[in-house]
Amino acid sequence: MSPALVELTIDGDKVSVPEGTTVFDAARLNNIRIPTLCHQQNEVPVGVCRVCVVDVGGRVLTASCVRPVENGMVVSTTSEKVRSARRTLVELLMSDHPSPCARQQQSGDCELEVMARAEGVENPRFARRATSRGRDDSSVAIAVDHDACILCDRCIRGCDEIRHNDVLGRMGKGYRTGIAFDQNLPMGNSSCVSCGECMISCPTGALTNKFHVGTSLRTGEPASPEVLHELPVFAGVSGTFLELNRGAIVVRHFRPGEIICREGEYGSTAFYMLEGRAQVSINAQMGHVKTEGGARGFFSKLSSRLARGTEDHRDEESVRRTIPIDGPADLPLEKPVAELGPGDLFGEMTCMSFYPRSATVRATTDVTSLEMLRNVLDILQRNKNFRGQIEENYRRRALDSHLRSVPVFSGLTTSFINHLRDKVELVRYSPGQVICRQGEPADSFYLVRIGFVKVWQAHPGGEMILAYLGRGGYFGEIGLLGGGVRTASCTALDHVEVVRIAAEDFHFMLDKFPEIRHSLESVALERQRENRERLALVESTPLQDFLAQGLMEAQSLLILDLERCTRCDACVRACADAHDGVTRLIREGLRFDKYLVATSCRQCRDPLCMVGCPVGSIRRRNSLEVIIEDWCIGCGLCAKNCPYGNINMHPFPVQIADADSLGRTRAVMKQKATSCDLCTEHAEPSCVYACPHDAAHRVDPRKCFGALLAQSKRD
Amino acid sequence: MPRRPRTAKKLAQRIELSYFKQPQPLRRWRFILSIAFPAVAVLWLVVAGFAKNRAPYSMGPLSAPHAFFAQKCSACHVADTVSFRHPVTDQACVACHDGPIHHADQKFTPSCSSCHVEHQGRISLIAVRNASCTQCHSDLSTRAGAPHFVRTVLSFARHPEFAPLRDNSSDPDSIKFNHQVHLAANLLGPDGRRVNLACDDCHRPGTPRGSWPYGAPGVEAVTFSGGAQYASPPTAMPSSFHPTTAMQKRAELAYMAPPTYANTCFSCHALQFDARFADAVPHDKPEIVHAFLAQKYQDYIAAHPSALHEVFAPPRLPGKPIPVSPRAVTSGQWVAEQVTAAEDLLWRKTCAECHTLNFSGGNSLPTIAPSRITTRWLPHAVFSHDAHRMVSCVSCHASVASSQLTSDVNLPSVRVCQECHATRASAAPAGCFECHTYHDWSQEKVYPGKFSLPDLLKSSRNSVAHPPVAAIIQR
Amino acid sequence: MLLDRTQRNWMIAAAVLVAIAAAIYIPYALNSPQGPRGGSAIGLSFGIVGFALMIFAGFLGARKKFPVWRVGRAQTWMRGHLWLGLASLPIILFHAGFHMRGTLTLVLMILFFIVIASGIFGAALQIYIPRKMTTEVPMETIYEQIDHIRSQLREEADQLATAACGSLDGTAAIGTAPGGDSSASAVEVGVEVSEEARGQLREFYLRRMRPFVENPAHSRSPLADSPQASGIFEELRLRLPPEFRDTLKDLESICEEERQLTHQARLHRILHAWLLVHVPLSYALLALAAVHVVMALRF
Repeated sequence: MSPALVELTIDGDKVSVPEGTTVFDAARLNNIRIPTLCHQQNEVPVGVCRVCVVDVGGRVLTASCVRPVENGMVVSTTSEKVRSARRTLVELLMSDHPSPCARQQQSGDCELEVMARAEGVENPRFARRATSRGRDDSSVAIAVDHDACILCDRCIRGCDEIRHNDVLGRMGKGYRTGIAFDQNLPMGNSSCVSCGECMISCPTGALTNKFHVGTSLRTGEPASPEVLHELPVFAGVSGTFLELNRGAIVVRHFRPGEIICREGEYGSTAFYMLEGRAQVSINAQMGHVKTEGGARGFFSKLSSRLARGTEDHRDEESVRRTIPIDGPADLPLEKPVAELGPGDLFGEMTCMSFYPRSATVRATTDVTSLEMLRNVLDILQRNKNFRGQIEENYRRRALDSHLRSVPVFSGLTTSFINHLRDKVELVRYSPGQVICRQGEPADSFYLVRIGFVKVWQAHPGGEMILAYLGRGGYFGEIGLLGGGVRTASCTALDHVEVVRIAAEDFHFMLDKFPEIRHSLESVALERQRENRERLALVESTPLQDFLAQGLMEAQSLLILDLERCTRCDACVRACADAHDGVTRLIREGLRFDKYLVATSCRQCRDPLCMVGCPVGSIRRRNSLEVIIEDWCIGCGLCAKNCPYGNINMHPFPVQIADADSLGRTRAVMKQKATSCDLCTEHAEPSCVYACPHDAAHRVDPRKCFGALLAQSKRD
Repeated sequence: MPRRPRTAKKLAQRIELSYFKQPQPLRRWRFILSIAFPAVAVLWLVVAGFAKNRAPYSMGPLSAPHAFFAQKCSACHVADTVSFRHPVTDQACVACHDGPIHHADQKFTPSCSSCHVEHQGRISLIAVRNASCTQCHSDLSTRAGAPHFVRTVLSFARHPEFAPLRDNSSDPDSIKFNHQVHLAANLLGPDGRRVNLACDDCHRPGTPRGSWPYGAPGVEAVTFSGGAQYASPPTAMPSSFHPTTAMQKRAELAYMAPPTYANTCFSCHALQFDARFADAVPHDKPEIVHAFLAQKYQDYIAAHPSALHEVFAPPRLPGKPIPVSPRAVTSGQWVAEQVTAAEDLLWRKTCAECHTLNFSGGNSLPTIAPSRITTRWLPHAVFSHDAHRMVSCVSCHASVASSQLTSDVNLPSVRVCQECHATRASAAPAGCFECHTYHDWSQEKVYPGKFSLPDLLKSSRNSVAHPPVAAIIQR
Repeated sequence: MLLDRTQRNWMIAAAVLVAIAAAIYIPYALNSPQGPRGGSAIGLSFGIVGFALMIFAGFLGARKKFPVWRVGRAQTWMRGHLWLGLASLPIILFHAGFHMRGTLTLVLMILFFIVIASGIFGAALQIYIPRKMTTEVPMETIYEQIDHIRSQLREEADQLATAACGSLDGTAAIGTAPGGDSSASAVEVGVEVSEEARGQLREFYLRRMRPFVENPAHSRSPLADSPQASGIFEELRLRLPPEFRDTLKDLESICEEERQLTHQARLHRILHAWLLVHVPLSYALLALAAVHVVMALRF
C-alpha cells in the first residue's frame, strides 16, 4: 500500500509528498533549496544547527530537516524573519570560527564560510570566544581543529551510521562542548580507523585531511583506489580516504635480483607484496672467529691460543635462534635468510617509527608490491581484513619461534604450541600507552611483535628501567599463573603490537599439560627474588649523588688512575687487539677525583642504547654487560642514543654476495656499532690486563666510590 | 656559567677512533733509533772484523811479553778441530815455554791459564794470586800420602815458621865459629891491629865488588854464582820490578857467598906451623898440607943441612945442662920429624880451632869434615839479599849478635819478614809468588823457537804457515 | 706507576736474589785462583743469570706488542722488568768481577750503566710526572690528538667570534654564524650591540687571539701566559658591552685550554723522551751482549 500523500504549501507552491517526509526534503523535491549545515543527505537529521529553520506559522521557527510535513502546512523559507534568523545564526557561528579555516584554505569550500559570504556576514559583530578548544594532531591522517567545529554532529553520525565505527561522540557542556573520540582520547590513540568518513562529513575545517611532506612517493605509479579495492585486504578501506591520499601508496615493480630495500638505510615506507617472491636476508654477518689458512692462520691460531679466553658462551645463553626483523618472519641465526611472498608486509617499523631498515630484501622473481607511507599503513592496520591477514601471517611464521624463545615455553611440545597459537590475541598500543602497571593483578603474558616497550619499576629515587624489549621480547610470565601482581610496569615507547595470552586460556592449557606448571612457578619465584634484591640494592644507595655525571647509572665503570697512568696507550692497543683492531675504549672523558672515567660502555642500568635497534642485535647479558651481536646492520641508532658516546660506528670489511658475479663474494666496508663487552671470555678485561702500571680498573661505582662519597658527605 | 659544556660524549667525540694507529713522532723515533743503535753497534764490529782487528773482542790488554802478538788470538786460543770453543790450552803456552810441574806427587795439575791470567794489562804474569797456591796448600795432600810440608798455609801473614828455625833444627855447618866473639869490639886483628868486624867483611853476596878486607891478598872475587843457579830466571824479582838483563845480573847477588878461609879468615887466622917459616900452610886438604910441609922441610934441610944436627932442647931446669947428643938423622928422617911436629901442631891446635878432624881409620892423616856451609837456607823459597840491601844486616839477623855456637841457626824468623811484607797497601808485597815458585825449573825443557815473525804478527785466524801446535810440542 | 705496597714482593725477591748472589760472590772472589772473572764457572753462571735477566727485561717490549696474549699480566711483567732489571746490575758486576777490561766488554758495561741509569730515571719520572700532569692539566686530552683537537678549537673560536661580531672579513650579515651549527654554542648577539664594539672584538680576535690559536705551542703572544691572558680578557670585559660577556668567557676558556694543551704536550714529552735513550740502547746492549756471549764462550 503506498504511503499516504500529504499536501502542503512551500513558498506559495503546492507540493504533495509522502507522509513522513521532512519539510526540507519536501522543499528539496520541489527544487526549493533550504541552506543547511548540520544536515547531510545520507545521515539521520538532528536539527542542531538551526540554519535550515523555516517559518511554518508556528510560534517559533522550525528546523526543516527534522520537521515532518503535515497536511495544509504553509512553509515560508525566504521570509524576512527566516532570513534574519538565518543571518544571525551564521553570524554567531562565524564569530567563533577561525576564518579562514583549514578547509577554506585548502579548498575554499568551508560550508560555513561560503554561507557567510553568501549572507554577507564575513565580519561578525560578536567577540570571539576567549579560550580555544584546541587542536588534535594525533591522528596520522586527519587534523582536528576544535575551534572550527560547529558541533553539527555530522561526523558523529557519519562514524556511527554510515561506518558503524562508533568512535565519535559528544562531550562536555556549555562552552566546553565538543566532539570526542572514544572517551575523549586523542584521535590517533582512539579506536578511530581513519576511514575518513568524519572528515568528508565535516562541513568546516574542523576535520581536514593531513597532507604529509612527501606524501606522494616519487617512484612507482600511484595506485588508484579502484585498483586497490580489488584487493581483498583493502575491503572496507574508505575509498575517499584512498583518493585523498593518492600518491601515498604506489605500485612498484622489481626485476629478479633487484634490491627492494637495503638494511641500515633509513626509510619511511612499508612494502606489501602482491606478486612474486623475494629473499630477505642480513648481509652484515660477521663470524666470531676468523681463522685463515696458511702461515697467517697458524700464527693467528697460536696467537689466539696465547690470547686464550674461555669459550664464548653467548650462544648457549640465549635460547633464541633467530634474528628479529621488521617483517613477517624472523631470520634463523646460522643462515639469516628467509623468503617473502604475496601477502607479506614488511617495513612496518620503518614506516611508522622511522627506524632503519632491518634487513635487505631482494626480489628473486618478478615482484609487484605496494609501497606506502605511514598514513596509508595506519589505515590499513586499523582495517580488520588487513589486520586479520597480518595476524595470520605472524601466527604462522613467527609466533612459534617467538614462543619457543621464551625459556618457559622452550620445552613445550608442538601440540601445546599449536593450541597456544590459536589462543593469542594481537593488541596494538600507541606511543606512551601503558600496557600493564606495577601492582595490578597479573592476568596475561605478552610477547612483542613490533615496536619497543619499556619495562620499569617505580622507586623512591626515580624510575628504574629493567629492560627495553623489542620484537620477540616477552614479559609477564607471572601473569600466566594468575593470582600474582605485576612487579613492573610496561609502557609502549612507539607503535607497539603485542601478542597477548590471557591467563584463563593458559590455565586451560596447564590442565592439559601439567608439567610446565612447575617451570612456570620456578620462573615466578625467580622473578620475585630478583625483584626483592633489586629493591634492596636501590634503597640502600644514595642515587642522587652521582646524577651529575650519570655515574650511578653505571653498573661498571672503567676508571684510569691518573696518578699512575703514564698515558702510554697500552690499554687502548690491547683493547683494539682483542676486538678486531677497533678500540672499545677512549682515554678521554670527565674526571672524578683523581680518576678519569674512560669512555667505555658503562653497562647502564637504563640502557638507552638498546631502544630502537631494528634487528635486536644489541642486548643485555647476565644483567651486566651490553653486547652487540654480529648481525648489527650499522644503522647507528644505538650510538646516537648513548649519552656518553660509548658506542662508536666503524667500518669493517664484510664478505657479501657479489651482485655482478653470482656465487662469489666480495668485500665491502660496512659500518657496525662497536662497544665494550667487558672481555667476558677472559678472566680480566684486556685493558686492565695490559696496563703495566696498574692504573686501569673496572669497578662497580657504588662500591668503589661509595666510601669516598660517604666520607665527603660526612665532611 | 660555563658555556662550553664538557660532557663525556662531546669530549669523546673529539677523538678519532684510530688515533693510536697513526704514526706518532715519539714512537717513530723510538723505532728508528732502536734499529739505528744496534745497527751501529754491529756495524762497528763488522768493520773491525773486516779490518781483521781483533781488538774489540780482547778482554783486556796483554802483558808485555805477549803484547806483540795481541792480534793473533789463535796463538793462545787454540782452534779445536770440531768444537766451537777455542780455549786456552796448556799446549798453546807450552808451544813457547815450558812450565814443569811442581811436584810429581801433586794431586792435580792446574792449567797454565788458571794461575797465569792474561788480558789484565801490563802486569807481570808471574804475579799469581795466593788463591792459586792455596787451592792445594790450604789443605795439602799428595798422591803418595801425607805431605812433607805444613798442611795449611793460607797467606804470608799466617805463614808457618821457617823450617830451619822449627823442630830444633840446627846449622849442619862443621866449622866451629862463634859470631859473638867475632862481633865483639876491638878484636885482635891482622898485624896486631885492633879491628871491629862488620857483617859484610865476611858475608858478601855473589860477585862482590871490591876485595875482601880480611882475605888473602890477591884473592878477588870467588866465582860464586851466588844464588843465580838457585834463583829462578828473572822472576825472582819482586813483582814490581820488570826483569831486565841488568837485573838478571843482580840475581847473582841474591845469596851470600859462603865465607871461605881465603876470603875472610886468612888475615887473622894465619896457619903458621913453624917459627922458622913465615909462610903459612895452605888451607887445603890434609894431604896437600902434608905434602907442603914435606916439601917445605925438604927444601929447608937442603938449604940448611946443619939443621939436621939441631936439637930442640926442651926447656930445662936452670943450672942443669942437658947433654945434647948430636943426632944422627937423615934428612928424610929429619923432614919426617919436622913434618910430624908441624902436623901435630896443626892438627891439634891450629886446624882444630875451626875444623873437626877425624883420626879414625888408622890413617896418619885426619879426615876433615866438609864445611857444609849452607848458602841457601830455604831451598823452597827464593830470597835475594840484593833486594834487601838497604836493610842493615843485624836488623834482620838479630840473633847473630848473641850466637855462640855454630849450630845456631841465625836465619831471621818469618815474623821478621812479616814486619814489612804484608797484604796492607802500604806494605811490601806478600804474595806467595814473591818467594816461592810453582814450577820445578830444574826440570825445564828448553825449546828452540819455531815461529817465524810473520806467523806471530799476522792476525789471520788459520794461517797456513803456522805449524800445528801439536807438531811444535813433539820434540 | 707508584712505589707502593704492590711493588713490595718483587722488591723483596730482587733483594733476596742479590743477597744470594753476593753470598756466592764474596767467597768466590776471595778464593778463586784467578780472581773473579767472567770465564770461571761461577763467573759464567753469573753471566748467564745476568744475561737471562737482561733478555727478560728486553722482552717487555715484545710483551707490549701482544697485549692480549695471556702470558702474564702487564703489571707482573713491568714489575719483573723493573726489579729483575735492577738486580741484574750487581749480578753483571759480579760476573765481570768488577773489572772493565776489554774494548767490547767496556762498551757493554758503559751501555749497561746508561740503560740502567736511564731506566731508574724513567721510573722516577713515571712516579712524579703523572701526578703533576693530573693536577696541572685539568683539561687534559690524548696527546696524539692534540693537533686534531686544536683544529677543532680553532673552528670553535672562529665560530664564536663570527657569531658575536659578524664575519671576520666584515661581509656577512650581523648575528649569523656562517655554516655554524648548534655544536659551536655560538652566541647570537643581537643588533643592539654597536658596530664599534663588534669591530673591537673582531680586531682583538684577528690580531691577538687568532695568531695564538693558530700556533699556540710556539706563540709569543701574551695569551700564552696565563696571568697576562686573564689581564687581557679582564680589560676586554671592561671595554666591551655586556652582551659579549659570554663570548669572552668562551674565548678565554679556549685560550686556557690551548695553554693547558701546550703544557700537557711538554709534560708528555718529558715523560716519554727518556725512552728514546733507554730502549734503543738496550737493543744495542742486547745485540752486543749476544756477540760477547758467543765470543767469550768461544775463547
